[in-house]
Amino acid sequence: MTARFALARAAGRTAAGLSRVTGRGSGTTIGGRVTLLVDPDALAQAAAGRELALVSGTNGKTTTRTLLVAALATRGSVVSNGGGANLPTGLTAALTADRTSRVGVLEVDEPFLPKVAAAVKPRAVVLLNLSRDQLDRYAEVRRLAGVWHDMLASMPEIHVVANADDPLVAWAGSASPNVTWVSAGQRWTYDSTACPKCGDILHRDAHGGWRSDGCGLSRPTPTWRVEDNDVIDPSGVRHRVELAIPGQVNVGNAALAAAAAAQWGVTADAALHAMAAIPSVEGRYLQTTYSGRPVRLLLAKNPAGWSEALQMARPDTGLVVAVNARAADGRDPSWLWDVPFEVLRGRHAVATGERSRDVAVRLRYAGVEHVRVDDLAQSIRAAHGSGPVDVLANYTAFQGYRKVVRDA
Amino acid sequence: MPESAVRIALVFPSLLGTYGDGGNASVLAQRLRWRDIDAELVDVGVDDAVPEQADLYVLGGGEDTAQTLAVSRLSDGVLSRAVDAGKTVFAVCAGFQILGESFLVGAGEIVPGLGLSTAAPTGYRASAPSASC
Repeated sequence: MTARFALARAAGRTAAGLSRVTGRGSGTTIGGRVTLLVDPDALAQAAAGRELALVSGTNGKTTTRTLLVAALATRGSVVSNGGGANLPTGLTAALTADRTSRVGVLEVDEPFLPKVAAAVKPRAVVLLNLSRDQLDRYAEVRRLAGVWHDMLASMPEIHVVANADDPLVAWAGSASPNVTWVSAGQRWTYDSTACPKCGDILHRDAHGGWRSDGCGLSRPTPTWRVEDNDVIDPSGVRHRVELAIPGQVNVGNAALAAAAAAQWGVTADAALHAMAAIPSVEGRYLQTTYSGRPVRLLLAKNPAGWSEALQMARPDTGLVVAVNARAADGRDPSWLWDVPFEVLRGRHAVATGERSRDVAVRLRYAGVEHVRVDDLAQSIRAAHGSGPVDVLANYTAFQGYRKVVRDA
Repeated sequence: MPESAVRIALVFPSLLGTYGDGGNASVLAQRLRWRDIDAELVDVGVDDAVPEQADLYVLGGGEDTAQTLAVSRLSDGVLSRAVDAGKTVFAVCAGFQILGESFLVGAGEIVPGLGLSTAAPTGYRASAPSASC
């Protein structure tokens, strides 16, 4: 360890502590920022000597990171980054705060993956999916896939665990000689109609397979597969997955996490058993009670995520749809028109959040009966019926609900 | 659906629909229905033939490779025939660009468009890192 890094770490700790005692926040971001200002090499220094897995993708980063931490924690302590702090500042803060764990799992914001990988030299990267997200902030997804592709071509020593069902991810992963392919599923296919490699049409079959007309790029043969609620490991053994968290998409995430954990010698049984007990992930899927009604919180941030969340919404519950459009959400809510709200026809929903009017207009055109309510807490009371309520919310609206149910 | 229904073809939403563009077609169809005018909305898949007999063709925004692919799929002249027959084309963003004489993709490659309008890139600008429609 360099003297400069020791100084940078101490300065970051001081800044984070000041931020906490003055009530400005958890201090994670400011602490990491100060550390990196004093020593720009701090992320690499803090990662030195550890075996890290990086998790990235448009949707499921936090959940898959949590699943993988649970699996690896069966073997010892694991350092990780929570609270959505998935930029270099947050990663630096997480690694400097834990000086002892030899193993770590970090979720990384998609465009930052090459920079972070170059600094921390991970043992493994887990690539989940790529789809449209915050178009005012991110590049086109094809370009993101290209950035990943070039990164993996230049770092062949990294073991890649990648979702073979997503053509963008599969093309990026194909640059590596060292890949475990997992058939983890892909419901949203609207961002991979054109082949990411050659631009020609990708044809899909009914079993999740896909192939490019132009260059022949096709779905790599997966060694891990998902069938219904089972994960099938590379030796063909079927493992029943009974996650406490809902959603077919999370069975796929569990398969990816189990495939990554295998790199550390954790058996599929042990990994999946450890994952099953996780009740919620930083408020996602949290089941609680508010105003006498059982409430479940579901987070969705982009069309692909909303498509999954709409599948998770239970059929006979009250339903709340909450949308904000702050910087962290993306300022432009036009993506609401990409979400298939038509599947809610015949149900009754509450439109809320700072962009409740945009939600209400979208639901009106989708033919979904609804009321509009400004206040998040009131929205739960306004939900149809008197029984359970599923709350579907995007990022900052979701944080608002976490506070509502915490303060209840 | 009676003969009088207004037929709206949403052209290749899986290629030209990155920015919520499908909403334009849904809104057009619903507003017709709310005025008691029958409307038929056809989602044209990338493997489907674009219908010759629609009243309104809606094209949205898309990424570079999708935009180029859309041009090649429309090169049979179906939109030219529609325009010659007095039909309406409502095109936004990449959908608008591909109707023109040429458009820019990637780092500055110029690709021929369908030539239905005189639109063409007039000044080169290094492509922005984020989507811009």
